Amino acid sequence: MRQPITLAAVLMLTLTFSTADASFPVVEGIKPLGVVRGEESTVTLTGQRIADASAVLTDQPGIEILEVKPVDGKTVTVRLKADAKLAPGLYPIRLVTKSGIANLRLLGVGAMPIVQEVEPNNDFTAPQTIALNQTIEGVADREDMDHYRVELKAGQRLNVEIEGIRLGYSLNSQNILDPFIAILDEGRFEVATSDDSALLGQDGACSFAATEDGVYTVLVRESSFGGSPANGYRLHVGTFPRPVSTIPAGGVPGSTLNAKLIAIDGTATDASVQLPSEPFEQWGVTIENENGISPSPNWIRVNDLPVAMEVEPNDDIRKAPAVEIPAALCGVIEKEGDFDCFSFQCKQNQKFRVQCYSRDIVRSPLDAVINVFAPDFNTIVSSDDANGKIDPFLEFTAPADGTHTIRVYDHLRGGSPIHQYRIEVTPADPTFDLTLKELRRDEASVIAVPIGGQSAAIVNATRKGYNGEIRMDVDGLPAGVTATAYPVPEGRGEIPVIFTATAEAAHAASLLTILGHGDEKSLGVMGRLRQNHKLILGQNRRGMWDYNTDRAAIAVTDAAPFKIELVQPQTPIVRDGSKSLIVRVTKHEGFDEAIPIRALYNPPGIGINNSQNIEKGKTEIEIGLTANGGAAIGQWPMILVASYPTPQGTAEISTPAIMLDIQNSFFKYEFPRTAAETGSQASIAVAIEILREYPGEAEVELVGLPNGVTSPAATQKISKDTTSVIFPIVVAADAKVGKHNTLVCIARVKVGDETIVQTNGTGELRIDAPLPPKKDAPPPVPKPEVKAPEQPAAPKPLSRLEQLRQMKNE
Amino acid sequence: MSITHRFGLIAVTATLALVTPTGVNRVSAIEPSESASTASARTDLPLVPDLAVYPGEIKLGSSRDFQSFVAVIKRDDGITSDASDRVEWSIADVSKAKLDGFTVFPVADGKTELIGKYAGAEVRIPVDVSGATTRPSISFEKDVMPVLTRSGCNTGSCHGAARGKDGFRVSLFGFDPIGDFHRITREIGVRRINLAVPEESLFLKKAIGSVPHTGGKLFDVSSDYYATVLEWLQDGAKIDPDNAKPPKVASVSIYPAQAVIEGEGKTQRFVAVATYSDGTTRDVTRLAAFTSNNSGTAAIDDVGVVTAGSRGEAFVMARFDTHTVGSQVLALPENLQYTPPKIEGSYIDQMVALKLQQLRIVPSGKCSDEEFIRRATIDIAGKLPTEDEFRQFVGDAAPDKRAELIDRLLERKEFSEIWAMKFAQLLMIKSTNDVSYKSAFLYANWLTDKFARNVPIDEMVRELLTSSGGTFTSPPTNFFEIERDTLKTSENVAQVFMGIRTQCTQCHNHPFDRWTMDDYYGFASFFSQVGRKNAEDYRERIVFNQFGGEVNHLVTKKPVPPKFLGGESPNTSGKDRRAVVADWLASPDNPYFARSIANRVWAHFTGVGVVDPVDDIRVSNPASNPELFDELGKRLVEYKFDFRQLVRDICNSDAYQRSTASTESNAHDHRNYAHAEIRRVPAESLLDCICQVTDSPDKFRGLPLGARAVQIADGTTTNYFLTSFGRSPRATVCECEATTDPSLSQALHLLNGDSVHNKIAQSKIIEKWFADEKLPAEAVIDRIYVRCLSRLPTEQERTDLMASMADDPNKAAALQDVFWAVLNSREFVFNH
Repeated sequence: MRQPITLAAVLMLTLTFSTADASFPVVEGIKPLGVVRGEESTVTLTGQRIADASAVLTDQPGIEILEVKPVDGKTVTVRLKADAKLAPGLYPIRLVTKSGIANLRLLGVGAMPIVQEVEPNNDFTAPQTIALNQTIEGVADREDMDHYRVELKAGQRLNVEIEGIRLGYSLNSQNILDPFIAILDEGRFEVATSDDSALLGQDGACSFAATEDGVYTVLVRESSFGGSPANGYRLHVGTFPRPVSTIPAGGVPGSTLNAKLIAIDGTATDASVQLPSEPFEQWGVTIENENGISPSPNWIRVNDLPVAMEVEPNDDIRKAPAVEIPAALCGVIEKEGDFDCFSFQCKQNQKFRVQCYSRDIVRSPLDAVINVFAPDFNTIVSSDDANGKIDPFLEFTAPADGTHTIRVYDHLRGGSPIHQYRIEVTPADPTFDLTLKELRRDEASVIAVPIGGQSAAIVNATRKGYNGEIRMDVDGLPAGVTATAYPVPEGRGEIPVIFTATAEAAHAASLLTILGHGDEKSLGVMGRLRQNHKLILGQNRRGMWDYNTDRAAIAVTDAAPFKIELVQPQTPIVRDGSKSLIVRVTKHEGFDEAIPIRALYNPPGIGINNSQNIEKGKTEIEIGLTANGGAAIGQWPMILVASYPTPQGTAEISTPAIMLDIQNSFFKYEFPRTAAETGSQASIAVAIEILREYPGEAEVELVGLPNGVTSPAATQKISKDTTSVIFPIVVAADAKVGKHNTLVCIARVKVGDETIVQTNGTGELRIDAPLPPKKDAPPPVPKPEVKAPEQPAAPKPLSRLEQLRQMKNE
Repeated sequence: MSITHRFGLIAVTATLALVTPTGVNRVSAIEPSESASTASARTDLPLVPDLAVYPGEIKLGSSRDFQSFVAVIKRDDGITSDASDRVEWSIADVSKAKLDGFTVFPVADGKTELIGKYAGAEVRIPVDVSGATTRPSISFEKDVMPVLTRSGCNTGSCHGAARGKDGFRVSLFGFDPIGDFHRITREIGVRRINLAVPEESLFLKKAIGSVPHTGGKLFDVSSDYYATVLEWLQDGAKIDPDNAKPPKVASVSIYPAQAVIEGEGKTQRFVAVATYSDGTTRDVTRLAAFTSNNSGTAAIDDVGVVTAGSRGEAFVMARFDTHTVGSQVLALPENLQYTPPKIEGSYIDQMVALKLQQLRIVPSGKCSDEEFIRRATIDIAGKLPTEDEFRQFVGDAAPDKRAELIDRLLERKEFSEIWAMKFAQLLMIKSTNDVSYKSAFLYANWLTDKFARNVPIDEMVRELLTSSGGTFTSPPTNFFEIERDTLKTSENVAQVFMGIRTQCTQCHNHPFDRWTMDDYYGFASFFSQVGRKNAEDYRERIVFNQFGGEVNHLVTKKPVPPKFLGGESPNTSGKDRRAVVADWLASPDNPYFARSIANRVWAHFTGVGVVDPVDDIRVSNPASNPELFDELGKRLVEYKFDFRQLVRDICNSDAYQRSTASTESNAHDHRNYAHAEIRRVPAESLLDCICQVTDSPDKFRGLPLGARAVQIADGTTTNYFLTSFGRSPRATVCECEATTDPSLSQALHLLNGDSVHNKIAQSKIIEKWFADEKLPAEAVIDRIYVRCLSRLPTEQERTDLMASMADDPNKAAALQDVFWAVLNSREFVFNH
């Protein structure tokens, strides 16, 4: 069984190499990094392979793209206007070209006027003077210190927030800006500093109320004097409100949320916010008052769970106030050593899912730990960090009817008025999440469908308590594009979706959604597409900043210079079998390049030779498939991908899908251990079991005979009654002595023009040198009679043991 | 004189906590007069000598027991001599005890006295005999194990090696008696012992060399060692039952506590006495292992006889069980002419002077002002004095200008940066795969900030050891990230903050100190509950107290409850164990912390610690001046752990301000501060000095331009100059990591490397003086000398330099050469 493993490993390697071939547009730089809402702005995007830029997709409403104009191969200007009412913050934009879609980038939208940094400002004594309520666009270069001087009146509050890492894009752990900001007084003492913050991650915000009239300096640098010319930042300096906490962090759609806002200086105010009518996993609350508007939102959750606020005293698990679940349990770990408990009724064997939001989305400094207690106050389950995040997540099954209790506290037993949490307790109903598999490492998949061609993506399903078939609907396609979504088979986690653009389709782009639901019996089990866009990766590709969307980008791109077809085979591939698929192209006039072909996706247990080209002058190629002994039986969509050169780099087109029928093996063999002496003849008797009926004619061929060994009848026909096949062998005098674990049987079943091939191994053949004559034995007397070799083979082949017995008897 | 000497003696016994201070019985018939302090000749012997007999009391607990004794006569000038054979000995009641040589044997139960008479002095030592008729059976642990240790069977080079020797392994220095018993009696069936014919036991035959033995013959058939083992075998080779374990050794004493021997070849007998936990004593002079830390001055043989050698000081030690104790031995030449200088000045100077007087050493005089400003500025601020500072100081006529300079230097931030760097080295602050550059940077900044704000060191250590939270938000938590191993963490804490090396005791009891494996695992237990988890930022980690986790003893494989080193086992339930140990560690009552820190400070300024190396404080590495060692620690506690004050004391002392020029009597001495030591300027400060005098700052990764080498946060920052000049690689907590050893690459780098030549060329400082300011060549030379060496050139130097430049048409280039030459001079790279 060594061989199939080696083969699989080789195939995987080639798969990895070939995926790196395709090229695609990349936006590396954005200048300016942000715009002022209500104003028309021109943003310059720089990058690679963007000469044919045609449009910009925006995920959120409110940014109107007025014009997209390629300047040269590496520069595109985008004229756009952010709505005057748009909430300040970061908005995703994706540049679309005629050959693809670039990476998602975040564009800052603010309410304050933008000024540019003017170097030199490295010296505290020679700073750049700015006015209050401005956004400064600057660069934190290596070991750079940027000083900005503002004037404050006594009592006036200065709030500073920086967008540094949040504006960046780096997947190679280079040029990552982790900013440090400080407010310095005239004596150069730091009166407020911020490096990392719970609210903004590596970015920070700080605040200072001037005790007397005077000039103050805002300092920006990379937190450990790193930095690079690529490290742009937006520094918001002003009197704007900067809340750090909205309590409770969420509500029911359509309701008015009466929340307590806690500002960066600790003051609390009441505010009411109209929540949207639709649920949102993450919804931004922006605060505006007479002093300005917060430069980035505070995030809350909007869904149907009723909010249950904590009621102090609730430190004791035996005296926890009662709430109804499902619910969103909200509260604050107000002081050090505080515990918050909630009790609720459960029936035995009811299963619940508990997800705490404290750092994720809510961005509270709380590092929550959750314990769930049974009615007897024994711990059922606890959670601190889960799913690679600081927030706890757990599922529990009620061990008995009665009062259960959830307790939450800070991991370091800390607490403060902003250590808030939202714990969503829901029944652990079956569900699943869908996402598009990253076809290029660390890059969210985009779909580029050539006009008149196809493009495929792979949907990954993460199942939570549901193991059945998942059916999917694709929505939001550009005109002229259709999608074929095969269902994710029961128990499986991935399946391709193929997109087809008609020959008449025009260049266009859109954002699509995929909604999935269970089979007939589980129509209520639903899940939808989410896509994670990695924006900053640190060492070893560990994530530092990312952005989630619920729509994926698709674009209709330039037509390929050929039509491509994958020929549907008429016969199945069997386990331990192999098959060739035929890819056929119709090259357009003037195009005759080699076309590399690779697999987009292998059905489970199928291996594909991934490094083949349709050579120049050829229009067809056979691609070999192998199925291992555990290949998943059933009908599987099969799609290959062809690449071709374009002025913007290598482009790809998928073949239309065929359905590959994977069936169980026909035959099962038992190989004997055969031994033969050099210069003799023997036979190898392979026992064969016919596992099921096969169509047509079948034959078995013995291959892998060692050097010097031949078989006069290596291929033998079999019928459905055959139980063994005997291959005569002739061992030459100079055949290699030793054990040869190389015998393999290839069965071929002919069905029409096609052949179903099944290959099994391995049998052993031992070749011995004849024993030398014994020393004290009488000189060998030539045997009086030598059996004629032409004598018909013995009716029953002898096993090794029987042969030895016979030799002894001789 | 003798009063002060007695003070010295008592202080010695106090430091060596295991020497019983009551073990001295002394008679002094007359109070010596002050005038006797100049006495040096034997003819001045007082009429009634100062006779002392050791041990101070004798207890004999069984018919096996015996006790040897020794008499010492001390002259008024402090010289002692072994008077055992001059004294007339007797037993008051011969029915109770008898004398054989210098040993008392029991006769019958009761009390009597050992009487020693000599030249009018009489000493009576109480002798208490009990159990004179009982003969306890041989105990494996109490009797046999000491024979193994004494004979060297269980040393690391013999069967005590980790894999044993020649197929037989016992625990190193006998840390595991039960295991040893099993290995001797059970491991290879009947091979090692032969209970039928005990004399035929291989165990014995190997030791007496009657069969081939790699270790050779260890003792004779006639020896008491042989008798002990044989009797044990004859009794059936039993182990001490669990319910009748022999008492533990509570303490060991070695007498006399001090010997000042005059004349090469003179001897002094020492007596070692063990006191057991049940109050009984035992003469272990024949069982203890004796060693000397300076056998050239005082060699000690295996029965405790010291022979004086060349002039100097030594420490002779006796090791028995897990205890090591020592006595100071001074060897002086005969008929030494010595007039002690007056003892005056600060506490430091008084204590140093007392010690020098003991050694009959005359200290060097004070250094010049020029030497002083350079020495103090380098030591306190890590820089050279500027030309202005130099001129102002040298021209200042105020009598207390040195003290004022010290005060001024102490206020500079460079002072705190030097100490932040020193501790950054000890705390191994550097970026690694586990500790990001940002973590290391924040940690170093935290440390610098603590020193800059003059946070008392006890408070800083408490904060460090109890820190919890993210390595970014709470930088001291990096202490637990840089070293994640619990055992190593506890070793590091002991070494950095108490100067105690406990590493040995991870696997066996410390052979040269009091620490046992129980101490080791008990102390490690304080750090066993440190939890670590990932934070949101992958570069950050969260360190916390997880209220659970134990350390298992290597031998018993069972958890060891937390126990302070040399202290009690506190109640830690429900507490952060780290907080408990930090409170103990940084407490003013902790005998180790303040002394260790003070000693590090002292060593920085004098080049050699009172205990040296500063992080290897142990019984067998005693302080050269125990009174000073204690007093520095006490002062640091008094100053509320503000060591600026201590630095002030040190730098204002004559001991610090002495000239490096030695005198005839102090040239050989480097431990007693009779003259200042010449020290290579540490790597970081040297680079800073070169940058300073050439006006050409270096650039270090991750720091803004102009940052100095002492400010480097990350120990892995590459810099060829610092590496070749021996900066600390920060791989261990050892003070020895930063070296000032010379090397060829250092010399070549200064001669040919970019540090000196390029900086001189880039700075254009010579051109500025010579071309822009139109200074004459002599004045430029003067400025170069003042800048680099803090002195004006001598007339000879000036003349020679001018003469060498006379033919050079390019005066500026010639002056650059002068600058280069000065920077390459030994005078520049040394602090003198």
